[in-house]
Amino acid sequence: MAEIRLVTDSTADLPQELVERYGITVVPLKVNFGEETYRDGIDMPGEEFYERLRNASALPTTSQPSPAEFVEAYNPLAEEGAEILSIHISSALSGTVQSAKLAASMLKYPDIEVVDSYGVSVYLGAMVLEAARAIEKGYSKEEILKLWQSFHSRQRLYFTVDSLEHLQKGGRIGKATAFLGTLLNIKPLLMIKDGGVFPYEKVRGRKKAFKRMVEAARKEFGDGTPLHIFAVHGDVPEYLTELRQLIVENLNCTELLTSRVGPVVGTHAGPSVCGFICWRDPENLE
Amino acid sequence: MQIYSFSGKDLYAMLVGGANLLARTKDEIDSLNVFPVPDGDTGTNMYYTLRSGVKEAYPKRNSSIGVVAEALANGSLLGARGNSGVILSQIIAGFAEAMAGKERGELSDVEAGFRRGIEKACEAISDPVEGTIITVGRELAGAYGEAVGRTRDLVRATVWAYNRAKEALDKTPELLPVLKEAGVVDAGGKGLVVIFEGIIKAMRDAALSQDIELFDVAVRQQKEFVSKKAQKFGKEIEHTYCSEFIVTGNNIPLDILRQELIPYGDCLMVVGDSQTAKVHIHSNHPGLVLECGLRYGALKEIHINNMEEQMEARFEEKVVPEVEKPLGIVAVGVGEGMINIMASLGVDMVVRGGQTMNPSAQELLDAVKDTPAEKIILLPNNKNVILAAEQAKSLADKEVIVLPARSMVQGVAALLAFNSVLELDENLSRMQSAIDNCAYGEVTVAVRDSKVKGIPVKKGEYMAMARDELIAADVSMEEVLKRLIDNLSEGEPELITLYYGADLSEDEARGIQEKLESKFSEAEFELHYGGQPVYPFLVSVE
Repeated sequence: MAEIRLVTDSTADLPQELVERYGITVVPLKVNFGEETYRDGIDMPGEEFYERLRNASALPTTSQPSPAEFVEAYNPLAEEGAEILSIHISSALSGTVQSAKLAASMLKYPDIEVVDSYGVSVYLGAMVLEAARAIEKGYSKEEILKLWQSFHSRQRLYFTVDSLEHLQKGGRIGKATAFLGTLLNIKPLLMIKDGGVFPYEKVRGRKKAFKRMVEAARKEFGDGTPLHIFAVHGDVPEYLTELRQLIVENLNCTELLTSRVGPVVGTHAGPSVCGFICWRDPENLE
Repeated sequence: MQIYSFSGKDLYAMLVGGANLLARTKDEIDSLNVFPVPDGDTGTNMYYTLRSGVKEAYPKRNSSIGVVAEALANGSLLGARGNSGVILSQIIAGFAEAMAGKERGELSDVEAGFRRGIEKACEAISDPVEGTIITVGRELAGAYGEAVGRTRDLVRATVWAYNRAKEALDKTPELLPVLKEAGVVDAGGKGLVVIFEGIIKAMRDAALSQDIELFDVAVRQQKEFVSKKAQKFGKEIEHTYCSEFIVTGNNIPLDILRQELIPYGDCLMVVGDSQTAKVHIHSNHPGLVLECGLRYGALKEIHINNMEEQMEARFEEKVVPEVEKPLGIVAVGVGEGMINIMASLGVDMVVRGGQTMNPSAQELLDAVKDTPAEKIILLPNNKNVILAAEQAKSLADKEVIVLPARSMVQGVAALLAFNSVLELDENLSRMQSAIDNCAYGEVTVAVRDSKVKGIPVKKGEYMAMARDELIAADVSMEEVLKRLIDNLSEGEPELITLYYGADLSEDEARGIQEKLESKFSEAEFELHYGGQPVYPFLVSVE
């Protein structure tokens, strides 16, 4: 039986050791500061990126990988004869899925499945991770697709930013515009829902916002439910420390992964972004 | 003198008498607040409510009693301000129900009218409290009831009812301990008694001229008429300057003065008597008009306004986007900063007013109408505005949901909970629970010595009000704020928000905040400019 190979993109914010451990192919999106283009997560380390983001006179732009880059990523896997599962950033936020689909059709290789994750960052990362573990357990491609289908109702992703400025300027805010309330120190609590950014609540003060996020998760899943948790920050490590603490105190986490929001997502969310996804196992997974 | 029945015109004259006496007494009634806060306005509210009724009835004053009473009721329902105003308007509305279709009224009608009025007032407020205007009103109705079997003379019955009401008023401190402690009688009850005193005066002197009082009403109507006319036809105003003044002297010949002024413009009114004449005219030569008045006496209270300017200002105010949306929010607020904050949180229209000036049901209704949305969430943001908001809701022709926020701070909490992508019901429940969970308070300055709930208050001291209750008074602002925050906190406070008022500078406010920060070191503090009058600080603790 052919081996199942996972392909994702750089917005999954997966830690490098997991990428290597599970042999995941990561296709980078791109960040453009003026004329200069950098491959997400490869050409410029996080610290340097956020430093530049803070000082840039104009916000950088981002772009999806070209179909050719996907072809390049798929080719060696196709040569192995692998079953390729390619899952990517929500089509509501980026055209990456389109590029991947185009590449798949250009390649004329029959066994590529391109999937829209309807999420980004740790949402996408969590889906990739769950699939990688299922593959190790011998799940079939169909079973993994089912796992992914059920993922959306097994998860909650909450995040907050100090200001909606970056989301607004990048046009990635959609419905969250409802949350403008700039005169008070308002922290918008946001979710990823139906593929986009969704306003959950307005909270005054960052400490309260963090508490509310964890509280919302606890309320959603019920006390004591075992949860996988994947938390991220942009460029404020103290935020992550604070959030981790709250998560450990209030939720029953079977694992707690942490990572950093990469440059492409960071461009749109801003350095102050901090949040987490929690998901429970499906009932039929041992 | 005996009166067995009375006409619409008589009723009108009586209410004018009531309103006039109330106008002269309103400041005294305002000061009867339980809390010695500088913004009591029960008397003012009742006066504006009644005046609005009288104004509405003026053009119909020669009709049947049923018609006049209905106009009085409509006007006062729309003009109702504050809780006492709303209750008064409900009493008048009940009275009008009993007079409906009648040509003249008799004592039995008056009795039925007051009985119905009190019923309606009790229906309008969810939990009628004894020792208030309700008690006084019920006593009035009861006294009329007892009088019905004994006499048919309205004057006698009314004097009898008035005396009973006065006795009931004097007993309000026995029924409501807060009144007793503060050493006052109920302000709303007092207002009702004063109105009756005025009614009796009017009955006794039916020929009393009401010229001066009606002058204000007529002038405003004229002004509106002139500027509307000009707007409608896009014409320039013919006579630019609206001039008003009072001439005082001896033997002022009103008719001659009137004749002399006619050539200078239009909308001329000269009223008064031989000692005091009030003049109003729209003219292009205000100087000549003043000279003309000067011939007969000294001039006082001179007002000259350029009506073109006023009209332009009115045009500028009316820039309302006409896109109908499903849901709009109208909130009541005062203070530039507070209004900006509310606007930034998505309020479509802020009706100016609050503790210092309760907006009328009419003003709220106008804002509801002018907000281009199918449904309206209305945030009264003051405990004394909630009833007027309910009244506006019942008069509106679109769906209005009143969320009973009792302070601007609670209103802000409700607005924060609002999420335009959610369903209305979900929003309402989130906003309501935000209101319920928002501990609010304020600091103000005492206007007289008093004692409330065992707390002695000296004039000039800062008072802390937590959830509308006095909890501390002290000469130190910092001290009362500290006690206020303690009182409002359940457990460890997380976020303390201070909105500083118009009379404080940012530096002063920041200085106080810093001192408080050292006392509540665990909490996050936020300081915002509220710009509200009378209250140096509005506070919320979360």
